[in-house]
Amino acid sequence: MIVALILFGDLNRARAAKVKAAQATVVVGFTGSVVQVDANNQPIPNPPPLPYQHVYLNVVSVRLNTSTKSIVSDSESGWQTIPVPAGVGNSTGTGEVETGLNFGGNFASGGNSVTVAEGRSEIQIDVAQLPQLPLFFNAAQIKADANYHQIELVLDDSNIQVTTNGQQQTAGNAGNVVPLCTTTQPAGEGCVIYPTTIFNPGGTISTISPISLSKQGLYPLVINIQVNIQAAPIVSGAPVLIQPEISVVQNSEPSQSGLPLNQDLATISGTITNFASNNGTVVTAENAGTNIVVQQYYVQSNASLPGAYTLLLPAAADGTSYDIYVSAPKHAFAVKSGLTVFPGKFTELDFDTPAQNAVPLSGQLKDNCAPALPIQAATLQLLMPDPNISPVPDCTASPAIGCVSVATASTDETGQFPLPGNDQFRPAFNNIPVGSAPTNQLYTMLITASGYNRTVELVDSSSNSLSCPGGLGNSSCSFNLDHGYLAGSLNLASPSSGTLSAMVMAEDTGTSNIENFAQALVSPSQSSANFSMPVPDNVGNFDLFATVQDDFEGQPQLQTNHTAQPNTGHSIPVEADVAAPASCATVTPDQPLGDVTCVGHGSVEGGLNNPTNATTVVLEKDGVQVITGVVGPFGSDNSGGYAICAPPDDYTLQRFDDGVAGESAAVALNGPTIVPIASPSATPCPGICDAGQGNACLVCNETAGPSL
Amino acid sequence: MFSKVTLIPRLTLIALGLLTAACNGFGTTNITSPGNTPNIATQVGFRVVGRIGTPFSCYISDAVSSWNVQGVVPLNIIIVNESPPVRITANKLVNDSSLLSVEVLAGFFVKALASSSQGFGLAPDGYQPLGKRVLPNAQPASPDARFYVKGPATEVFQALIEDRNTSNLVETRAPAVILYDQPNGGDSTGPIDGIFTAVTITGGFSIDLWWNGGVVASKFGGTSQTLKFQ
Repeated sequence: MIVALILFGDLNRARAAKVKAAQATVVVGFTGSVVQVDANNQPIPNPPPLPYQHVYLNVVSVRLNTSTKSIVSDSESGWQTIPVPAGVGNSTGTGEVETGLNFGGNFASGGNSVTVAEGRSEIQIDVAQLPQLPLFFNAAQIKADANYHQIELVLDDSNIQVTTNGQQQTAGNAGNVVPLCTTTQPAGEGCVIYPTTIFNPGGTISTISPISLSKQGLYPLVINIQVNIQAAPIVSGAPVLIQPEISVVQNSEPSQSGLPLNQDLATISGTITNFASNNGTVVTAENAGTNIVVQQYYVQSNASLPGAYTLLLPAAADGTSYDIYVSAPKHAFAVKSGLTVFPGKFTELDFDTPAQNAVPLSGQLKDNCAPALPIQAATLQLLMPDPNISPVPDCTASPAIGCVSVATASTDETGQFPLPGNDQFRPAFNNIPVGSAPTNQLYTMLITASGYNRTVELVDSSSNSLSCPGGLGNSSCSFNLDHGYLAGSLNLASPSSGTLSAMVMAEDTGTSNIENFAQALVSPSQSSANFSMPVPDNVGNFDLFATVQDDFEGQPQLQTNHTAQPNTGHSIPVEADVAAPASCATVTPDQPLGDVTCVGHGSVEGGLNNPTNATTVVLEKDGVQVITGVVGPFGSDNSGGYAICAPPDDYTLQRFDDGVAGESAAVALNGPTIVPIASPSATPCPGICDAGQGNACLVCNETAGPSL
Repeated sequence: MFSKVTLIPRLTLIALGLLTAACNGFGTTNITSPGNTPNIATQVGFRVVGRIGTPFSCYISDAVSSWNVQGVVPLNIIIVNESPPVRITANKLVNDSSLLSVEVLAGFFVKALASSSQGFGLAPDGYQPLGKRVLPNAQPASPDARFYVKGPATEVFQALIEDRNTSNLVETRAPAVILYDQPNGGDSTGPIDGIFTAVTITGGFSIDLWWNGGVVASKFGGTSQTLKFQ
């Protein structure tokens, strides 16, 4: 087994991104929906609101086969696999197109085995959260063939041992779900993770859809995943029956350039003048105004259309904006800021990247208040103004509208940047074009690190080297970042029986923009723990809140969005509008955070009027935003709704659309029901925390929320 | 079938794999039957994955020690001399929609998976062998001994991590952090060492040995390196 894994494993992950003549590139995206079904996997007519907050699938790959059989087994030949992104840089499964994602392990050529030291890769997607925009999964080169017939979604088919009411049993690892609370009994505990079992575990999740892939062609493949799901379980921890089904969102007619169009994707295509040899030029699409890479295209230097590129990007009906930039070793950057594209539409965009000298940019970040302390995991972005905008955009502004992030680096455990690459892929900061000719490259460096001041520094590239006029020493690009401190204590209502882990979050007052967090560990038999954290000293006051991480049956529970800790069963203490510290000074809130006590779970759900992808619902406590709710899922049984898990308490529900506050309403979440056990039991009923219920069950209750 | 570049490492891996199997380092057999020596439990490791470059802060605890690790995606984390069960909690350190995913692997398989794409979102995970019900929140590691294998990116490497009396064979992919739980039974003076050998040869090593909050040894370049503390 070991020998086979080594022999057939892929040791060539970091080779150049050349597209082979007999292959085509398939770009896979997902859309999704959830359907409530009965015990026979039949849809329920007029279903109630979806009783789940999350419906996760653990996706291993998508694969295609030319076989016309109704069922094609694993052992049949001809499978062509698009796996999850793996490795770093030019990873297995990607060719001329790749994502900014990484899922660690890798695959052998068959797509279903792994190499030594790797383990299998998989990506967890929340089908209840798959938005109207497709989720970009991955792209891969596979054999070009005009007769693909079968398309299969491969989920993790391993089994796991789970605990249900104290008893061990086997469940599938294809996914898991988080049900909301209910108003009926009997019921299992809500707002905790449940394993799943597939209705038809021996079957495949596949569909038949003819696909023709031409040699060196590029093909968008958008797959709609529908998950059929049974009612919420009545036994805590019991596996939930699901059945995923897939269909293909068919492509429409090709554009004028001959590229296939898809109703969910925008197509951007063009030509790079002065592209690099050896497929060294890369076209990158980022979410506008960010350094979040959505897709990269390796421009082929020896293909039938050398210098051509194509990007297939998710786009909303009213348009989605991207920043596009082109980079290559020893070539100038070329940028386009804020390009808005539309689904099913084609946009042509050409670039010129003349040859230019390039040098590395490196340095070190340390703490201005403790100069020996390195700043770890900081992010450095090099911003460049779009030359097509007049006047020239100010990249030192916040936000830096009209500027594009053309290179990103991170600091290591000693605060030094950039992190190493390898012989095939150098860090982006190792190739920064310099000099005034042929193009004048203007750079601004944006430095961000949790708890530190957002720092903007100019980078001088006018000579054949790089220098930072605001840097330490002789215009080096090393910096000491400034900040203050927030310190205090967290109190429990009664001493903890075991070690309790809590997270204290500091966010900009009146917002959900978190600046930093601190972990507070309360030791057994203690009822208090201190915390201290660096925070920026230039962003105004802070709101504080704390949440305790609770486990259920030995499993840490899933997060409820921007709450620091997963669906906690403890009350959430808050303190609003804490004054900001001065540089290197410490501010302590007027009172300790607390008192925290076990109150169990609760959930609230309601409708939304005309929601969009930019709609959010936030749960506020005493003016502090503590939880951002799940909105949607769109196109599902409970289309246009919100659902939030939170400990029972008095809150305000606040709707936001694209960050603008809308309707709000007060809501009091119902407390849990204590369900006695019929007969004495040696095993306590599982609970999210100990509220003095003894061996009885603490089962949460639903709260009907208002429409917003 | 195999390139010259990769054939040698493949053959090396085969030899090492067979050697390791013969020593009952992993696998399910007890080839040489040296006595009643059961295999150790399947090694548990963590992969922090998602959008490349996403910064995170990670709290890890086994039954004896706990660690805080800050880094960026992707990062492999392995505890040497671990005492299961284990808990991992990873927080994003940015307010954006980047995906952060934490995988807990036992052997070759993902045993637990948690993800977040919310600002400062949290991905909590845990793994406990059968019969263990409570995940730990142990005291901070003392001594806090770590090897940071920062590069070359994507390199598969083997590491022999040793204290005074025991050695542990690790194989994973860079970038990686190897946490050494209780070397020499918790002796704060060491010694420990690590012998690193590249398998896929994608570039020169960049490795730091970290002891109680500071770097005490660094090695750069080459495909085989040894780092020691005292």
